[in-house]
Amino acid sequence: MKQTQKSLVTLRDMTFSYEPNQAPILKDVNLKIYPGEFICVVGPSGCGKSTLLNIIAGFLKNQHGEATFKEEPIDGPSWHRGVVFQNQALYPWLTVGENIAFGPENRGIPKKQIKDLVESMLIEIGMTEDIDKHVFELSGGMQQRVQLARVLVNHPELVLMDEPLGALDAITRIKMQNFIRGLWENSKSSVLMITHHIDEALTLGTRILVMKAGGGGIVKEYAVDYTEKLLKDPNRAKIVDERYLKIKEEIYKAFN
Amino acid sequence: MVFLLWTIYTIVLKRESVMIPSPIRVWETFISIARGGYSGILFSHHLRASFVRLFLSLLLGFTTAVPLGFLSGYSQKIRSLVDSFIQFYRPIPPLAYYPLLILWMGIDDRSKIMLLFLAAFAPIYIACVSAIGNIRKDYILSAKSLGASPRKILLNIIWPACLPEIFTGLRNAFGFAYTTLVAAEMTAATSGIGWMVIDASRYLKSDVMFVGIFIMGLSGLIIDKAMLYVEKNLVFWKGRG
Repeated sequence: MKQTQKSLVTLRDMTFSYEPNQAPILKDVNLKIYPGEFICVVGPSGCGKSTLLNIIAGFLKNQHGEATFKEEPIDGPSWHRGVVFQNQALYPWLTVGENIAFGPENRGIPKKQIKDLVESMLIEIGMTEDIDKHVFELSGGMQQRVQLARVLVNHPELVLMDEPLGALDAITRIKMQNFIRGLWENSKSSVLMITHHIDEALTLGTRILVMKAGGGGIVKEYAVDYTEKLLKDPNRAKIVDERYLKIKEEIYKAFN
Repeated sequence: MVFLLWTIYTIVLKRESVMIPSPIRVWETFISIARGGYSGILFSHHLRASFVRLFLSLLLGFTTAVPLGFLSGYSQKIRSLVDSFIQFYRPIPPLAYYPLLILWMGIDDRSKIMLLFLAAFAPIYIACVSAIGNIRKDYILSAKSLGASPRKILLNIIWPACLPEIFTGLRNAFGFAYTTLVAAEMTAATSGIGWMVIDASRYLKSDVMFVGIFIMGLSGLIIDKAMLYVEKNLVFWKGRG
């Protein structure tokens, strides 16, 4: 159904290697990301999923093939493609409010408008009380919420997340999954998220990409709707059906 | 504890001598020096002479070592050029090349400030280069993807991120420059706390030497504490980011 839309990101036969004479970590990767999608990338360590994210973010430059964002070649980072890092990417010399205001300030938005933007972001992440706190006073989960706010305040069309919940404990992690799902629904941004958790991918993503180590690239793809089911009924504990288990098993097999 | 032993030895056991004056005598000497100066020169003049040398050279060291450290942190070429020189002169005790500086710049304050500047430069420079190398990559990448220009990244990200390490470098530089200052004043000077001590030793005025040494220790301690205080407030996130 989404294939009729214009894609946001297009990778065509995209190849990348860290050293010129080394085997490429990504080889002939093809991928289209459409507006409103929530893509989860799973794969073993060293499969190149972070590399993929860094190329879309503009931190790395692909050597062969095409990598475009809204039909323009990706040439360096841009605030249209926000990035959420695993942890400790907030600036400790700035307060929570100042961290969130950093993006809008760079874009030259008037001071008064920035204040309103920051306040509405803080309401959205439920941290209005913490505006003047320093980031090192916050728990890991709260830090990640501020990181999400710092990126979403720019209203990027695409949000890239590199294992954003990887450093959190299990309970905070579940809370943050619900939180991210809500933000995704409200912001209408597209999301590409890397995760190690297959369940996290299944319950957050609208599409799951499975990558293989050793330059195998994207080997499997699943369109799923569990996150939408959870959005309709947040208290629903039982979303696992036969297809869910089947996909999970297939991903496990692909890993080994 | 040391003070107690000293008091017992000199006052209770009445062993006071030219070699070891009693605390009371040292205190009296301090008062008389503070009031009337030493060797016809006011005490405040000695203190000021020492600290002007110290702070001027630290300021000079800071304003040159930081930009150069940043350049070296950015560019491998500049770094290999500057590093080779600094690695060579850094282990040399400053007093070893002091005669050369006197020869070139005269015996007055200029050669002393140059000497202290050289002593202070290396620790600050090295801290700066290392700070640049230690910056969390995510800080810079996230700033880029939040739309920051290179100038903004330098001022708002790289500078504050380096500040804690630069501060440590500055404290080291202070310690090294202070040691060098006293040594230089003992070698060739006509004023300053170091000179006061060495001059007193020529006349066996051990009480004056005691006063001088106490003041050196005390002022060093006070300045270091003051720097720690500033550091705590200025780079409050140190070790907590």
